[in-house]
Amino acid sequence: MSVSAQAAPATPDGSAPVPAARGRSRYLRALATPGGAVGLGLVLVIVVASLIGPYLLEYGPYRQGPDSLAAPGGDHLLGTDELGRDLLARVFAGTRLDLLITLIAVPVAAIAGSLLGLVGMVNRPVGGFFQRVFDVLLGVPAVILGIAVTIALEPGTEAVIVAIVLVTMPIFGRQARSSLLGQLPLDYVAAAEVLGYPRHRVMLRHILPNIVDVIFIRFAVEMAHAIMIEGGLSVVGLGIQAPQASLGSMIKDGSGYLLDRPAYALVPVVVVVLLVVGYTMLSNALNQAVLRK
Amino acid sequence: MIRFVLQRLLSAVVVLAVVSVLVFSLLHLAPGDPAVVLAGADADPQTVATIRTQLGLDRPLVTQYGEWVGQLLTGDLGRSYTLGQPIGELIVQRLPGTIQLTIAATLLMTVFGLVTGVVLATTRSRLLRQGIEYLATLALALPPFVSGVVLIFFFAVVWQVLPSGGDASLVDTPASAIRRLILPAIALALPAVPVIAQLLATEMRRAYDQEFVLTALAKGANRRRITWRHVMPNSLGPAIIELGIRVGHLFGGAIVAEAIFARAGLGSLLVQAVQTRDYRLAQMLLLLAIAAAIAVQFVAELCIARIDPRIRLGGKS
Repeated sequence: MSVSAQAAPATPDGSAPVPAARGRSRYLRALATPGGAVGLGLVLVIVVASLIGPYLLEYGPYRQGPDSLAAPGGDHLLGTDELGRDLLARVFAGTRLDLLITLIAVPVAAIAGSLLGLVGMVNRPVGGFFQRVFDVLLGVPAVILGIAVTIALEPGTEAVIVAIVLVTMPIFGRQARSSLLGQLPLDYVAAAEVLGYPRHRVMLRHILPNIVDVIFIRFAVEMAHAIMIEGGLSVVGLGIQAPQASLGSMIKDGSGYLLDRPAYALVPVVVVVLLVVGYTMLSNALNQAVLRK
Repeated sequence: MIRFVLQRLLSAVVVLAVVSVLVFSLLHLAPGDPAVVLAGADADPQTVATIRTQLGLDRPLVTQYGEWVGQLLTGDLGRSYTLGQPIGELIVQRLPGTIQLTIAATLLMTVFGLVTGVVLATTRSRLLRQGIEYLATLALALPPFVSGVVLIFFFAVVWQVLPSGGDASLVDTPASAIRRLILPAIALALPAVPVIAQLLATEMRRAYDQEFVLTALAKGANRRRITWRHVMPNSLGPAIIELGIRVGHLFGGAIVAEAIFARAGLGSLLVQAVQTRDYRLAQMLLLLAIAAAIAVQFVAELCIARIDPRIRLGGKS
């Protein structure tokens, strides 16, 4: 009980499972389950659509036309925004920017967070220091942390990336550390130590491969989380700045026209929901496959 | 117990002190000279110089930090540049809107989270359990800025049963104020409900297998009594920790909800402060938000220690 209580802040659902035998087939099996397949499908459809979509359109995301807030249909499948820009083109551009931002920020956070979470094994005081740093960061609400970043940097793409890294890195750090603590009592760790391997080797070559599954599951969850962080910051006006489009900034601008042009805000809303649901299903499927061994 | 309280209190104070240093240094992390930033890009050197000496920006950082904290501790929060009002006054003005919203959201997530958790743990209907799980996945995918827009669209635009947002005084027009609270509070509470429910349900299922349940059964207690009197209190720990974190982080969500629902509150004040580069005000509000989050988590820890002696006696948490 105390273990789950301890893990609860960062990982309500991902308490560290005992490692299974290694093998890529478990990932494939996870993707073959209905949940895994649907999750992967949702994410892939959105990624592919946002990459190919722009080539099928006549208008770019920044090109202003004569009709502002045109109704959906005809030339503009989803209509236009208040500056006469094609909404579909902006949804594609916004989705791409979101995917790009999260694909930069979350891997950085995952790698840095995991390594800093494990470093306590090699150097206890340093590891302890980073755990305290993570405690502080986790105590700060994500949006607040993001806003603090926009004070230090200018609001914009870089600030959003930094914000996502700062919010998600401690989550990976906690995850890595709690998984590490689960591995330390196991025989293979003792065996590696008896063999006289240096601790960094035990950490990187022996323990890391055994906890990489858990980090992978966390990764899918945090990709969804990162989309939400971008959205939250952009909706309050401190995220992605005009004229760039992101899913969050379109929801912000479009929410003013819900009465006449509901598609403006609702289409990016649907994209966010599908992406987040996709990542969540994917992580659930991976989680089950790893737990079941 | 006292030792536990003091220990947690000390660590909360240490965290707060560290955060205050970080919040203070934000302005100095920002590129460029803070005095120029504060004065605005096109201010003349005279103004910049005045601001610099006025704020003591020409003195060592440690001295500046000491003075800032010293002022805070005596209750002087400073003045807002852009609004020309004492920051304390501004906070008092905007506090009610945010407090009402966070209290409403806290009530919703606690009640719905715990009830759903108990249902999830006790139901034998596979359909109901599956249904709750699907809804939970969906609710988790709905951060306030998404659910807020969807709620406004359906309740305010399509069905026109609730206002899309705005402010009303709870004292003068309570009915209108409460109607305006409903949607933003739901938006804020929604993602927390499935998490709390699942934490509670997992713990409760574990508790059902324990010997004290068997003892209670043997003594003739009925299922309902066992659920509410024996299993539930023993299973609340993780759910309460999570609630503490969620409630503490509500201020972050409130910023987003205030933007989507056009409510005046501390969140909208913070956004305005950052956008108009009113850094003193922004720093103060950031510090307040983080202090609130830390305080709520502290209270949550005390609650569990009160409920579960293993925590307070174990020493480690």
